[in-house]
Amino acid sequence: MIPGFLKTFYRYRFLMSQLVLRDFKIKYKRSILGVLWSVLHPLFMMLIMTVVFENLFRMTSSGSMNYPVYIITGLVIFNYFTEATTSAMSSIINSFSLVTKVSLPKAVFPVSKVLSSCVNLFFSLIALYVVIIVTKERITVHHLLLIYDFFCLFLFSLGIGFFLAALTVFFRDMIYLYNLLTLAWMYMTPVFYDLSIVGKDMINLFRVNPMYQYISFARNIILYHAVPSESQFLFIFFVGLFMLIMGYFFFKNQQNKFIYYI
Amino acid sequence: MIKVEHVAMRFNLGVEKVNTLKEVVIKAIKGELRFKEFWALKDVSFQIETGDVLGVIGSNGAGKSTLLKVIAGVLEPTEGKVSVDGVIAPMLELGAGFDSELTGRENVFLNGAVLGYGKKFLTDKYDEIVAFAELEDFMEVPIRNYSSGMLARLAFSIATVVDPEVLIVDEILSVGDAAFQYKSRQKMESMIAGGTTVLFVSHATESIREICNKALWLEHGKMIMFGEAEEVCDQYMRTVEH
Repeated sequence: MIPGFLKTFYRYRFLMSQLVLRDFKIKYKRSILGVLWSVLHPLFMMLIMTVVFENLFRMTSSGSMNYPVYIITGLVIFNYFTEATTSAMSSIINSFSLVTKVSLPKAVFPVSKVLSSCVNLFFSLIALYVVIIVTKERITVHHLLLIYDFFCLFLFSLGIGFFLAALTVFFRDMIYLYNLLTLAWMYMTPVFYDLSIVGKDMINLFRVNPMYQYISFARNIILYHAVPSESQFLFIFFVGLFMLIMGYFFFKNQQNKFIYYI
Repeated sequence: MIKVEHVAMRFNLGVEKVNTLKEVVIKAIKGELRFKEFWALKDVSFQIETGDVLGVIGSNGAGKSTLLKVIAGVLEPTEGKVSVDGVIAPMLELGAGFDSELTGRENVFLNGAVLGYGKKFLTDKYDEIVAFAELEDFMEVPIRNYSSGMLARLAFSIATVVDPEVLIVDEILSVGDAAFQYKSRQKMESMIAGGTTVLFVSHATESIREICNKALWLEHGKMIMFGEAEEVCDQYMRTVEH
């Protein structure tokens, strides 16, 4: 199954690059600042949240923490996940004219959407590094490990994207449900608060949340200048791989039925 | 060579009505979650050789387009088997994947990629596509500003730039103005002369008599007749006129 998946991926690389290029061109086509928005958006989100949570609510426990970097790391990662999965979710129903008229592997659509989000991730990383530099946070060689983190996050998002894309064909309600779900998920993930404010009895529940692990992996590197633990290395990879296999398997099983529901 | 063996295609009618979770749950509880079955194709078998030009006729809803989609591989048949030798160029929908915000040039590459062309092939053939569509001055314009005739010409040019072994055409000969119709007809004929196997759907028996040597007559998903184009068209016209 995995080799088959990679083969499709390779064979249709030109189509996927065209689809990603289209998404990118369409996104900012008629806006004045264009691509700059991809950098500005996370920056402003970070500014708003810093003002709200650091100054109004005093959510952070330790006053010495670099809160802007803390929050933008979480935001960049969580936003990537939300954007990738949400756009993959409607990828099949939005390409109905292609799905019903052209013989193409249907997996191409969710994959290209998750890849499109990687382009935006790249721009939000610029925002992240702007904040790192402005706040004079040290940049170490360990930052290269972030690539590994994003790769695992990509697998995870793609898996969930596959699952949602197939499910949404049958139940359009997923679009609304998932919106709420990601909102709840974000509050359950320490994006803007610190895990230390969570009660002892709940803390393990928070730790098994894969999104927390992806964010904490990046924070260990960026904020604490440390190499994440071995178990974290393994966890983020296997949870991503597991999700991808499950999602792809589900998608593959359902895809012949899509045409009757679109 | 195309071989179609006992192909049947079933659709579940009424599924559209239960698109939401709530309805499915309610209907499942009530035990009403049954769909009306509809057989768009039933036990269709025929075989054509390389170089044959097959016309498919029948009234609306006879299953003509469904049959072409099954042969093109867009639909998986519920029963039966289809085997096709060679590269298929399905022209079931012209301009599949066209995006109105993008320019003509960008759409050539996008639509070409959807049709399975490679990057190098498209780069090489780009000028040929544009020249055939007669749109040299409009390639950097977003296609939302195109007229429908211009769109159809661009789409037709992209679709026919390949030399496919099997060409599947769903009533698209009538795109563009009279001059372009003539040109596209010529293009089709040169492909046929070059030995391409063609599957062609039309309501007009005249065009089937003109370009096809074989014909298949479908009615309510069933095969009524398969054979020489003239014979099938004669029979068909006799029934229609009654």
